[in-house]
Amino acid sequence: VTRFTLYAFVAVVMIAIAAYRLLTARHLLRKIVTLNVIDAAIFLLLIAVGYRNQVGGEADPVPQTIVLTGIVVAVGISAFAITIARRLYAETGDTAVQEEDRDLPDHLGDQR
Amino acid sequence: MDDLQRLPLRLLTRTAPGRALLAAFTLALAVILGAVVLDLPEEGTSAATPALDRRDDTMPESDVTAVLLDIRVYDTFFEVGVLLMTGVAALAVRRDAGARTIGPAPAVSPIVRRHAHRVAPVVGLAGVYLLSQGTSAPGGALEAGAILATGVMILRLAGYRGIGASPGPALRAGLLFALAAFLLFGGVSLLVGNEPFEHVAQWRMPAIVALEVAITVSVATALALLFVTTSPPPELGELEQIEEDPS
Repeated sequence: VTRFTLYAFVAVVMIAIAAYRLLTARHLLRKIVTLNVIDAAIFLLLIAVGYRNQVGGEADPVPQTIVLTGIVVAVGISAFAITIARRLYAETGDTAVQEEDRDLPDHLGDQR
Repeated sequence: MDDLQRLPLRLLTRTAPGRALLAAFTLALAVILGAVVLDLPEEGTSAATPALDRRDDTMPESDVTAVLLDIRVYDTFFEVGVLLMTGVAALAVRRDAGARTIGPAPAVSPIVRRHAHRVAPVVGLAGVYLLSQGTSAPGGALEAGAILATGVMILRLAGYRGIGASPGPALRAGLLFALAAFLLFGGVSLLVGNEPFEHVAQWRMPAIVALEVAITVSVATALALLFVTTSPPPELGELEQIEEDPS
């Protein structure tokens, strides 16, 4: 197993787990955290690709710069998402996007 | 109608068979993604190689900085725009919120406060150092901005309310600074008769340093602002009150 395949494997597993949680989690903060896990996995993958792609004895600089800009954008988007979640909480007291509970069986009502 | 549309989604995310289906879906996604990643060609050249091969001594020593602010400067320009937009959007959404707060922030211990006193200047120095090394070594504007924003967060967590209590004109200007610098740079290079963002060799290093400073200021401002707008300031003095009251 090369270092690249190890990193790529970890990144893919992280993306899969976080994608599953993103689909099933209700609390908005959890969704935001899973998005951040996906971000981190993609950065790991990009760094691994850049590391494998040696140019003149050094790692390819292009994936590195994409990760750098990506980190800043990811932090900005997360903070914006948290701001929206806080505003939702301030307005409605909800920590999740409200789903209609009418006409549904009880056991589908309020699982987290 | 609305309920009927939502029902299948809830069956998918809230029931055991639905979740098993979702798990199978994400597993399939992972397998496909893994296959694609393993299939990535090992090129041995970089997208920036042609430009880096033409490198002369007017270009930054650091490959990463050369790519960020010269070869792929459009990427960085748009990144600065995204950052500005998230900052503005966060300010807009935050306004008038506060009907329901998340409860009083925890009191700041004197130990944390004293620690912040010591750490914040060091963090500030580290940020300036990273910025100063940006053209020749790993490091640069984005890292420096992030580190400086961390310094602001430390001070804020230690209860210094003065920082960004309400985003005033200075913070707004800081947010805009990098985009303004990029627009100025693009405009000037157009006026000189080049492509937008095309460097003139003898001005390349000063332009890159100026852009780096502008990006540092804007990244630090934006990240600090986003933190400040999403966290209530810690209460000071609460701890003393608790100590005084024996009940």
